[in-house]
Amino acid sequence: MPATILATKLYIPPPRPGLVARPRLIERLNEGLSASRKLILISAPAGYGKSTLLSEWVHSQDQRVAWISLDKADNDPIRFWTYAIAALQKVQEGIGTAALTALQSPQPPAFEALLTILINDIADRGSEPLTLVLDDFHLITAPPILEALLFFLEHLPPSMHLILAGRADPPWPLARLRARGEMIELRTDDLRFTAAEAAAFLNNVMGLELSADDLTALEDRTEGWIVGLQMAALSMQGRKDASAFIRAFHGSHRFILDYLLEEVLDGQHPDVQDFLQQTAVLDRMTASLCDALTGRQDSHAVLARMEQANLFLVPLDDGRRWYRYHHLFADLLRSRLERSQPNKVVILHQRASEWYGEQNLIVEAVMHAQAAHDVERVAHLAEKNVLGMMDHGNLGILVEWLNALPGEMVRSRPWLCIARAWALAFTGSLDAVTPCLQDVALALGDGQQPGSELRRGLAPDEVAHIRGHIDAIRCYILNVTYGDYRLAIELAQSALAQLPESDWRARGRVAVLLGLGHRLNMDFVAAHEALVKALAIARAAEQKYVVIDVVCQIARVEGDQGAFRQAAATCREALRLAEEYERSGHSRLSAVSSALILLSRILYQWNDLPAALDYARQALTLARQWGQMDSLVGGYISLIMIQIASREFDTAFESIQEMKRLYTTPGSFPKRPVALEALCRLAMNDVPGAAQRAAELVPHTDEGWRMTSLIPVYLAQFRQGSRTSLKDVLSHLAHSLQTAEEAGSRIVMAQTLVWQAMALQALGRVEEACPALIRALTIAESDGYVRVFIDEGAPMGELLTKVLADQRTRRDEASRRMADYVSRLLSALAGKMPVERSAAPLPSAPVEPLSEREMDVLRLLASPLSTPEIARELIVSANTVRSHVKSIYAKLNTHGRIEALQRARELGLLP
Amino acid sequence: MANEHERRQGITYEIRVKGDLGPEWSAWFDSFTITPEEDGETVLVGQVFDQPALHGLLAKISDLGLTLVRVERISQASRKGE
Repeated sequence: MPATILATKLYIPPPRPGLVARPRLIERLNEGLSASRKLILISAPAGYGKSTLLSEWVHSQDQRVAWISLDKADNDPIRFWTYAIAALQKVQEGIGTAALTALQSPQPPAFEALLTILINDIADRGSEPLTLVLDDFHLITAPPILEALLFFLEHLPPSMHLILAGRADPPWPLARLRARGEMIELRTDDLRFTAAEAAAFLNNVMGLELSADDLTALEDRTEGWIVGLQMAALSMQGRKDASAFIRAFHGSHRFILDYLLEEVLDGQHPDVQDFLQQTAVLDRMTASLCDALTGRQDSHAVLARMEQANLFLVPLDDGRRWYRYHHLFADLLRSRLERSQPNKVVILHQRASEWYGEQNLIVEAVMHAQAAHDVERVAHLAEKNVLGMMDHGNLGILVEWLNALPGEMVRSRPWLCIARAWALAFTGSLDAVTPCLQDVALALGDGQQPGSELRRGLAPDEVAHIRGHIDAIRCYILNVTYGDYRLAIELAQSALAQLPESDWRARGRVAVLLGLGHRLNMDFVAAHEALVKALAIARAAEQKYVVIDVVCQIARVEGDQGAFRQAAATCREALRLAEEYERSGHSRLSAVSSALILLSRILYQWNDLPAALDYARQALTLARQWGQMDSLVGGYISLIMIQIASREFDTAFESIQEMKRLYTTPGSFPKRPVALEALCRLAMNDVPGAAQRAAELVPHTDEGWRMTSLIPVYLAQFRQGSRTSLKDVLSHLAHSLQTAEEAGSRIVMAQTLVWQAMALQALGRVEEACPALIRALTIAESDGYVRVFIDEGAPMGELLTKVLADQRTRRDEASRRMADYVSRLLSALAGKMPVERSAAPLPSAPVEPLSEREMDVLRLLASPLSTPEIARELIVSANTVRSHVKSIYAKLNTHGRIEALQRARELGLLP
Repeated sequence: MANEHERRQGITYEIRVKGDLGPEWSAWFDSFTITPEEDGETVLVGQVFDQPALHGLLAKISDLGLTLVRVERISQASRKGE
């Protein structure tokens, strides 16, 4: 939705001049803000002054209030929560940005997860009171919003309150909220004008000078219904005999508004009467829109006069650009128009649709086209705006339009089919996509004689564009279903050949898919290349969160290649970008978890276990926050490997149990945790225990999986004299080595060669084992792998010692370097070696001393706590911690946590 | 429009509200017949296709600030005498 209209929805209506003060109600509202309450419910039919009261209250106090004036169109959950966050951001910059980002991603997380992020964000930002007003809440009827909002209410931070104003109660267990004293209600009887309020309104505000009898008669007839009194007052203004009017009104049984509307309109110039009726079809109006509907050129002046005359006109911004009628008044005018000139209604909606279309306000243009039952125009508008609507979380609205169109119409228009296919793919209705794409092919005239698309008015480049989208969608589906990645690569390449440069959104998405396809195909060079292209597109489009996501993907490809120094640098770049993104008020992106996991693996490989642990913990925290299953699994694998390597077996078993709880699908066997359990037993020297776990995996896994995951167990079994043969192991390793060589994955090559050497050594073929190990060392040296060797324990020690002795007999530079590396590995194996580091040379002492608070943060940085945990520890916000951390890094001239800690230790700031 | 209405099987409801409504409101209320009674109440009788349509109609009544007195489902049999 364009900014101007969004602004009118979030605009808090100003109190009208000459309002009747209602201190008794204001007091009740203030009472509702006490800490024990959560909800203020204002429930009454139209015309009881709900919005007016709230506006008076908001302006009478100085707490922060966010406000949304809801429409029927806000029943889309994504739209609703986008507005809610936008409203909150008006009073607190940057609040809820993480939730907003998540909302706008193609596959948003479940609303509970999303709201948890939002709730924590609000809670993190301190205890200053914050109130969210949802006006006209009865218009929200979509169960997903109502349920999510109830969840939000039940978990509301104590500093926050919710005010709902509407014509109907929300379908919630209100009795429970009442019983717990968490809710304050203002209902019809509370809102009616009392005799005193009615008198103050009629005589003081409207200047009518009515007698006590007249006042009583009016109050009796209207029963304190404010809009009734207001219309009666308007009818009486300028009349000589108000008493006669009141007598006639009092004596009539006619529906009050029916009676009074005629009176009010009769009092207006015919010109104004016309204007009122014609513009009543609009939900909101501005002068040039009114001009378009009425054919006048002076709507600006008419609106100004009407506002002065108190004709139920509500300003929607401070500049008096947008207005709306009081809802009830608009309803009356509309019903009158529908009764008198039903055909005119359609014409007016068509004019409104055209005006909005010209302003490029597509959502509004479609709404009016729908109201005019102009299906053709809806289809036309949707078709022309498919690409723009797929961004900005507008997909849900696009789907609604498509659903409201006749199926045949959608099927015959390729762009509409494309839109539906993307929407179905993004929402996981994958089975429905294929028929949809068949419709596109049919609409393009596939299978008929060539050139038939030209008859449908499609230019050749447009046909290519559409075909590019078909391939892109098929590629996307293969990616999310883990389908044939070779086909996915072909489709991505074909899509890129056909999509025009101007459709950078689709091109960027396809470039990422191409990278993922190449990665699965183990063509890391091509994957890297495709992702670098995707990165360039995202950078050019300034899509910061896509940039961070793609940088993380690039790091993973570098990790696959075993280029750990490069991968670590790319991961740090991703974290730096993410931190920069966070500093602009966003929370941490889910994509970052993959970079954190990779860093923990790399630091594990470099035997920097404390730093590896820190990253694994950060990854798990983030993955839990976003509910990402794959990152949770990846994080636990890191965590458990680190705990085993640190010989903290009890903790490792606890983590394994936690990890097993992730496998909640009935019948799914937790194979990865069981394999880790086997490795843990092995590290504890419990070979039979390890073998038993390995045996448990047999019915649930194939041999290749077991070979890759359990070789150390098989080797240990063999060494202990079990009758197993190593023939299968050796042939599996030979095959793995070949695959890894083809893919150019140095880490897998090194690992495979290490296991080959271990197997040959166990078989007593030491002369063959040494060359394999030397080859592993040669591959490993440039990226400084450590754990791949020392994880093998004592047998590796023997073999390394032999290699070292051999290298020392030679005098060439390469042998000397190798000997150096091997002796470092041997001391690491003996637990003596200082950690291998990748950090650049460190600078001299810091220029500026750390503040006391920064020292507190620094000490906690040395613990495994994550930033939010440190924040809780120090009772400050996560952002405050981040700014301290940033300042610490700057003062120590370092770029990351490990480096800063190391520097701090060198400077004696930390023990 | 009228033909389409007749073709579908509707359920007849009688809705009673406070206040006299003129018959010109019929179009606004989904073509319900509007009959003012002597006690200052108005009876609306007509067919709705399903429950959401009924709730939509009740919302229109509420939107106008009319006071709802009674909603009653009239069986097909009792309408034979009309």
